[in-house]
Amino acid sequence: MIRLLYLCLLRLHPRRFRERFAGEMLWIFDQTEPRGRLVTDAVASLWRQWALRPHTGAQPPFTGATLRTVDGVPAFYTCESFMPRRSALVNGGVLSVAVFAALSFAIAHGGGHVRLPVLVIGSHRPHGGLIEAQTPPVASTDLDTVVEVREERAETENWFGILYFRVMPVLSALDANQDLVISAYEIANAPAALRTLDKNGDGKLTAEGCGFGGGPTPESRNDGEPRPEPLRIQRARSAFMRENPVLAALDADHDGEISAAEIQNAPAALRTLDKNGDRRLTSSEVLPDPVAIVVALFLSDFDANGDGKITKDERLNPNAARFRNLLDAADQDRDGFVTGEELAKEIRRRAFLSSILTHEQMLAAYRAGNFGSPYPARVRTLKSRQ
Amino acid sequence: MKDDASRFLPLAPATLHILLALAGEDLHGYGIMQEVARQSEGRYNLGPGTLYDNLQRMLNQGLVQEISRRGANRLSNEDPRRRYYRLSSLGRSVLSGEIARLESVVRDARLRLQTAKPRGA
Repeated sequence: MIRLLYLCLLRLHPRRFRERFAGEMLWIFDQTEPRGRLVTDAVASLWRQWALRPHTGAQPPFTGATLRTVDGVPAFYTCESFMPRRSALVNGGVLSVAVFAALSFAIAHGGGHVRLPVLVIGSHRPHGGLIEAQTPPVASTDLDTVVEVREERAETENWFGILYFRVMPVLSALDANQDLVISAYEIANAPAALRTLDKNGDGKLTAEGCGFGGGPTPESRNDGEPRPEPLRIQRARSAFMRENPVLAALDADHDGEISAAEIQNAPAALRTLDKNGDRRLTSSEVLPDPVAIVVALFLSDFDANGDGKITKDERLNPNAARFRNLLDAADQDRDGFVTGEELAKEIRRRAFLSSILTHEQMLAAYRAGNFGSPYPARVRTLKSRQ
Repeated sequence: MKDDASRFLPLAPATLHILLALAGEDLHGYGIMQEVARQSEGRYNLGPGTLYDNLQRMLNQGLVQEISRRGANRLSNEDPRRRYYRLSSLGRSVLSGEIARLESVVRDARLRLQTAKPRGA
């Protein structure tokens, strides 16, 4: 038994050593008593041979005859198989660790700025050709969740985008997972999502079906015929379908309704809104122009006759007093009427000078009745000196 | 040759004992083990692994050389697995250098022991 163990230990030695000395070692083993010490000696020898002895030293030396060339034809020398140098093993190990560390760092910190994470298994970014996996909302073993207050603040600051996605039925239906992003998969699934809004089953979506609330239905006249819809409501409905980018894209023929054919073509229509080409729609790509929202609020609040203009008489509305300066300045042609285009132009100019950029800032300015000074900062300084 | 020999010094105990064992005659591995045990009066026992590990290194360094079976004095009933080893001229120079170094160490040590006075004397 102990001889078999010794034989195994000899077999584990490097081939060059084994071929040369194993026979003699076994012969000595057979001649020696006791043999336990020899097994320990063989283990130590095994370690020395693999750990300390370079196995390149025993290569046959190069000789002139071996490398002699004939008529300029070079001769080649083939080395036998041997263990790599220890320094090469160490260098390889260090290089492997460095590459692994660099790759891990790129995955952890690359985010959306580096394309590498997209190539790595486990990337969370959806792909248009893949079906989204339905994963449970809470991992059973994930007990170390970190709650960051900063994230909640960011959502609060972006309250308009959140509200817009929740209030607009079309966006709420498209954004199936309610993450405020219409992913590539959700875009591809848009026809099915839009059909869920078709309550009456006529195959199309009206402005009301898309979220427009124009007020109570006109009462019937004495003769039973329905009263004509006020012009104000008609204009508001048209503006609703025109100023919301998603609805404007879906309503390709701009007839105020999304037909069955337009529903079927919804993925292509939605992809026209993807300005940055990342195959998904974020809030910055689907929210309406903030100036257009404010203009709609102006017309809703002060355009009493619904002609799309704010007249001098309508400007006498007590609630319009805080906007008097703005409305007077907006009436560029001095005809007494402030059209939506004129109002938008003046608001846009003042917002630019006052750095009112976001939807939230624009609505806050409307509530405060202050869109900033109509003059640039340098002009304001000169005027104050005068 | 002397410079070549000096780069091997000082020698490890196993190397020194193997060179000493081969200094008198050509020996096979088992013979080297027995000679080392005899020279050290049984205080230093080489195992086969240690012996052949050192022999391999010394063969590569040119301190010893393997000789043909016909060149050695072999018995008729000897095991054919035995190989004989001989001290090379370089190995002999290295051994001489090591002995000279040890003599110097011993001389210096004796001198110091003679001149040193015990504490408190």
